[in-house]
Amino acid sequence: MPSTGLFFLPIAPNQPSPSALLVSHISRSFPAETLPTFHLDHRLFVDTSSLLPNSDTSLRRYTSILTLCHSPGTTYVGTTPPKEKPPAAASDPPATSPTSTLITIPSAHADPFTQLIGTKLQSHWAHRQSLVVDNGTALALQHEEWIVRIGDVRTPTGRSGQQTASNLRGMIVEVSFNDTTSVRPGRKDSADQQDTQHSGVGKDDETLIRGFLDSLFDGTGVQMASSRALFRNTRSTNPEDKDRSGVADWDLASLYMDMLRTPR
Amino acid sequence: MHEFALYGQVSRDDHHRTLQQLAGYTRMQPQETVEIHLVFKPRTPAGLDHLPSAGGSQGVMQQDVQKLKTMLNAGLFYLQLVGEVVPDKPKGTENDEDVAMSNGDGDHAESDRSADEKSAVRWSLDFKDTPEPGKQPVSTRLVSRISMTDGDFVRFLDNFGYEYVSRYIVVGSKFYDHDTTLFVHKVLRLSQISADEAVRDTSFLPNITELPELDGSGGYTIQASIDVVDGNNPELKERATRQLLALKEALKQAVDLTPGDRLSLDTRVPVTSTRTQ
Repeated sequence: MPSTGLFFLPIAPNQPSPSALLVSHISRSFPAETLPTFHLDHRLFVDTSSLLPNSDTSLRRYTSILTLCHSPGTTYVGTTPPKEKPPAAASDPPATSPTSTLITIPSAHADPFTQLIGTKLQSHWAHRQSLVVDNGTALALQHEEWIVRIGDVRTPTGRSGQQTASNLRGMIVEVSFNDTTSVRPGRKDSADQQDTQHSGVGKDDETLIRGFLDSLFDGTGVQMASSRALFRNTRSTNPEDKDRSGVADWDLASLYMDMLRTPR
Repeated sequence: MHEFALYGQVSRDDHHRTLQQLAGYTRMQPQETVEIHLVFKPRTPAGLDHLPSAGGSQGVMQQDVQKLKTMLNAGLFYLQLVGEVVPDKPKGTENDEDVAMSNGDGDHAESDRSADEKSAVRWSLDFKDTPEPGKQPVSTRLVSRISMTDGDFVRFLDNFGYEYVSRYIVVGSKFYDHDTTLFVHKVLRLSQISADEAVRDTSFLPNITELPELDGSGGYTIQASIDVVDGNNPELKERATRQLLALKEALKQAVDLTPGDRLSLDTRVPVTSTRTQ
C-alpha cells in the first residue's frame, strides 16, 4: 500500500513560486520520467449557519467538491460530520481529524452540483473558496517507486485565464511512495474503505517521505520546513496498474480535502 | 436545467389503449422503467435560531449578517435519491417488450424482466424546484440531476444536512418523441425501512406486481416533459413550450394534458416556527 505525503507551502503575496525551479532541479539531477500533467480543482463550502458572527467556528462543517487528475472523469464530494464538541486536544494530528464522508459523481456533474448548492441549497451551504492547480508537473522516479507531483495552487482566474501573481496561494507537493516490496493483502476497494482506521501512516514511512523530499530539494534552497504536511496510506497510484486507474481513491481524495480546506 | 412539462391522467381501463396510441405516435415500443425514490428532508439550519435580532446596527458587520439572513431564509427543499433500475440484460429485448404491450391491464409486466436475481440500480440525487408561478401554458421548473457513482450516499446526505424520510417506487413506460419524454407511470408503496437498508434493498423487485398502489383505482399519471439545459434562454423556452402544446393537440383525443397544479408540485419544506426550544 503506498504512503502519500502532501505538503503545502504558503506563498506570500507577490512572491514567485519555487515550483519551476524545483521541477527543473529534479529533472536535471535525477533520472525522472515525466507523467501526464498534474491538475486539480477544489471548491469549498462551509455551513451557512457557522458564518454568523455569534456562532462557534470550531463546530464548522465543510463540504468539498474535488476533481483530481489521478482519477479522470471522477469528482469527489466530501462532507465533514457534525462535531459534537470542540475538537479534543491539539494532540490529534490533522490527518486523523473527523474524516469526511465521500461520494463520487461524474466530473461533468461537478458544475451543476456547484450551482445547485450555491442557489437552492444556500440555506445550508455557502461557497467559501475555490482553488485550482492547472498545469502542475508529475514525475516518476526510481521506476515509479516514487511519484512526485508539484503544482501551484491558485484561486481560479475566471474567464480571462490570466495567471497573475496575485492569485497564487501556495505550492503543493505530493510525494507517493509505492512500496512494492511489502505486499499487504486483503485490500478492499469497495466503499467500505472509507472506514479509515488503516489509513494512518507509520512514523517510519513519514520519515522516509520527508527524507526523500529533502534529498530531492537539496541544493535548491527551498525549505519545506514551513510547509504544512499530511500523511496517509492511499491506493496504488502506479499508472501501470491499469485496471485500477480511474477507480476512486478515497484516501487520496480525503488527504487533498483535508489539506485544501484550510489554506487561506 | 429546466423541465417543461404537461400532465394528464390515464385510468386503469384506458392504460393499454393509451400505451398503444403512444407507441403509434412515437413509433417506438415502450421502455419499461422502474425507479426507486428515497425522500430526504433538510434539517433546519441551526443558524435560523441564532440570527441576531434586528436593530443594533454595527455598520459593515450588519451588511454581512443581512446577507446571511437572506441565505438562511432562502427556503428548504426536499431532495430525492432516485435509483433507476437497470434492466438486467438486453437479451431478446424485442420479445420482452411485445409481451409488455399485450399484457397491458392494470398489473404490470415488469416482473418479466426483473425476475432475475440482483438488479443494478443507478442512483442520482434529484432536485426539483417548485414550478414557476403565474399562469403558464406549461409547467416550468428548475431541475437538477446529479449522478452518484460510488460511496455511502445516505451517510453523505446525512452529513450534508438531509435526513431520510421514506421511500416509494415508480413504475411505468417511457416513450420518446424528438426532445419530448412521455412517461406513463404510477406510484407503488414500499414498506418503510431504515435509511441504510433503503439504498441496498432491491428484494421487492422480483414481485413488483404485488406491491400496493398509492392510487387504489389503478390509474396512471402521464407526464410529457422536455429538459432544457439553458432554461432561461427565451428562444429555447418558446420552442419547448410550442413543442409541448403541439403534442397536447396531437394527443387530445387520447389524453388531456394540462399544466400541473403548482402547489401540489411544491418541493419546499413548509415554514414552521423554529423558535420553540
